[in-house]
Amino acid sequence: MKQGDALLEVRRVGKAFANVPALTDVSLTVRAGEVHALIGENGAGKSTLIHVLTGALAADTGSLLLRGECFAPTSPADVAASGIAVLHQEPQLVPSMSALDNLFIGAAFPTLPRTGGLFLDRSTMRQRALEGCASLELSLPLDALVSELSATQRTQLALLRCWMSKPDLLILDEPTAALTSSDAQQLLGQIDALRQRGKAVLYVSHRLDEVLHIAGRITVLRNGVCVATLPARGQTSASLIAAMSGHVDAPSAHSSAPSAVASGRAEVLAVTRAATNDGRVRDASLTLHAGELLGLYGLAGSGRTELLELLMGVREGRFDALTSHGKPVTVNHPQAAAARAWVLIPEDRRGHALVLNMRLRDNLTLPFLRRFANARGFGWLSLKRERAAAVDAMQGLNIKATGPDQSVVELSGGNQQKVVFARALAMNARVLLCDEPTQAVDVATRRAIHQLLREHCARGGAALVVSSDLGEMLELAQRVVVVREGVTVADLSGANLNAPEVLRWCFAAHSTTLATA
Amino acid sequence: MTSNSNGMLPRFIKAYGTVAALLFICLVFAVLSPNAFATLGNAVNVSRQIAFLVLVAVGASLVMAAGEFDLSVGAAASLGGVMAAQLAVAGVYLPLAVLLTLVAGLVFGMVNGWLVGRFKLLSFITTLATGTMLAGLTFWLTDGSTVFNNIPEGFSAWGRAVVLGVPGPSWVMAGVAALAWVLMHRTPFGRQLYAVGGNERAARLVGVNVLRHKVWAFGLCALVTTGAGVLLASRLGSAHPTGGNGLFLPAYAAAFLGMTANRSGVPQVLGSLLGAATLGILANGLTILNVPSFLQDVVTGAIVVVAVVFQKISAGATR
Repeated sequence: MKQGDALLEVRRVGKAFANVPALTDVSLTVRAGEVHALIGENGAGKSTLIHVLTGALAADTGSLLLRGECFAPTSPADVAASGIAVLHQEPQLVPSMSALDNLFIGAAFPTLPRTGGLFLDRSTMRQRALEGCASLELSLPLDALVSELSATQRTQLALLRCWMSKPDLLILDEPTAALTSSDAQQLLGQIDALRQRGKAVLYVSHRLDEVLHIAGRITVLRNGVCVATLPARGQTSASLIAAMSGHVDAPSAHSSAPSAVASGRAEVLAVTRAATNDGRVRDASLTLHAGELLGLYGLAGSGRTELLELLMGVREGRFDALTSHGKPVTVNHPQAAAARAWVLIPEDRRGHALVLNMRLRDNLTLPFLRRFANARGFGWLSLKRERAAAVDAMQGLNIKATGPDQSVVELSGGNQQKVVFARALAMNARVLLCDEPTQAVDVATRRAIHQLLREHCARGGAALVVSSDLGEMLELAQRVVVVREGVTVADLSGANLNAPEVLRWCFAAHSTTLATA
Repeated sequence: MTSNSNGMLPRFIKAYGTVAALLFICLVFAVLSPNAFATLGNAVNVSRQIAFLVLVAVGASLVMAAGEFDLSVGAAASLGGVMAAQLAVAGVYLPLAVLLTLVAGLVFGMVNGWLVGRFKLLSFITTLATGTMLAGLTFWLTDGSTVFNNIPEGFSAWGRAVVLGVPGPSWVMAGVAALAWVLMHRTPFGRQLYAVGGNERAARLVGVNVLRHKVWAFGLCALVTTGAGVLLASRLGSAHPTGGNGLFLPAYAAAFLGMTANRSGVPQVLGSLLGAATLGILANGLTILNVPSFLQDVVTGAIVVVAVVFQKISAGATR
């Protein structure tokens, strides 16, 4: 394969989930000796495309060509056998094993000769690892456990493992997401070294400065469509943001009235300089007022979820101040949050919100069972009153189920989400912290949830809403705080609140100044 | 969501398969040995034989409802018998001796629950370790020998009593099972305990105090288990430092068997009762048929394996 030959061709690939298209008509070509970047905002289809390329999903339409031949991978093993190595955002490593052992997982472990493949050949393993390190100019502690390595070392180890599988094509999915910028620079150098040896690299990243630095060509996805493939030379962050958002020019005056934000309304929640102990949130400040629906927007991995979890007392961290109605409050446990009527609608509905092996009514009434406990009679539950309350809550949100005793696992995703919301409302939530509240629900439910959030705020409640869907965010919120790499970088409202402006702050080069509207 | 095309039969089997199997076993024994097995006297007999097992199985299912395991139940039962017997020998007022023993069990279990909940330890390992400590302590208390000299008459009164034709241990079993049922299915505590076992994170997020529930689940389990040990010693009129160990595995077998008896596949009081009854009736019937006791263990184990495999298959069929 010569430099510049087409190695991988993606031809008019389409993929839909339950009739919602994630990819429609995506084409791109990755050539040998090229770093080809793939960019797009949340939900543009990058992850879906990677899944198709790595055999995790099958495309509905279109085809893939590898070295000019039809390529339809169905498993990670297929992909590896075809000379493609994948570096995922979270490196797939076994923390309890040494770096050296991790290099050979999935590959054939070298074995001692004449033992029928029974015994590991440790010296050959070490020799091959050292050769790999030398050729990538890496130095890694091979005998250290992966759990003892830094984030950078883990990424480097995963990259080395990719390299040792001698691939023709490397797919790198946000490899620098967990790295500081100097470590990222080092990694970029190593990736460029691979390119110079004739490897093809498909590079997915949110960091536009890196993309401009390393890529030869850039493919921009928007709403599952391939907008353009551009030579990196001559592009700027601004031109790429414009391509991703589809707006040519930045400020298109937002028509809404100067928002009723702030002025005079009570501050139900104000946090300054929040940081989590794991570093996912580094410096976040925001203020939420009574009756306000505040948006919190950021790219995947920017620390949105972690900030909500910190406010709920689920995640450990610290802040300069956390106040409610001007008084300092302590929320170090979800119970404390519940006592203040702060309620989280988690992103992972099945994993964090519902007890799947229980009935609908069990899930609905779980936080306030004591309401149904008789004062006399040793706190027996009055099942009659409990069931009546559950039926009320179900009717209030029009939850479709055979009855309050139906197993919650049997409900559709939309109805499950309604159960979570119904529970929050029945808890008399004052502050709703919603993490992707309309993710994977049908259109009707999505509308119902929007309506419910607006009513909640109209009644004087407050909501902090995280959504990856920028359109939804702009439709719902009068004010949006942008979080980037764990830092709240902008607070936009009124004329400043539009898609290009939000995206500009999401993708802006490392900047920690807080812009106010 | 659930397809009903071939779902009815597996659903039925899942809900009532264990009950049906129990009835079938009874029928077989009744046919093979009508004069010895199928009598009221034998039924009463079985209820007394399974009483200790039921107590431990109910305790174990409290902990299992919270999504944990308590491997120290055998040691707790052994301690219960030995401690109560020794206090009785020492001349302590009998009800006080029993009360002190139960409190010791409760505290031991609460420590287990605190360790597991506070430090997020694996309950398997934690209770294996604390159970080993407790077993060692029990041996040390008794010098490794059975406590039977100088036990006052009254000590065996309840274990050997017969009230209204029903043995004392059976009354205790029925009472504890009823209380446990109310606790698990008719109180906020029980409901929240199941939520902790079903999805600890979801329960925590809506404000359930997970630690407190685990502390009480382990505590009550050890309380009931220690009580089973006391009752067993009372019945036998002696206490051996490993006397309760034999209850450990059958109790879990009963609880697992019971889990196969309900659709959601969670441990429940009635299920554990049913499981213990199945094992007890099996042992009783096989003894009447003169099957050697070693083979009874083989049959018991096989039944549990068949039940859980069956449940897995039918669970797969309903999804």
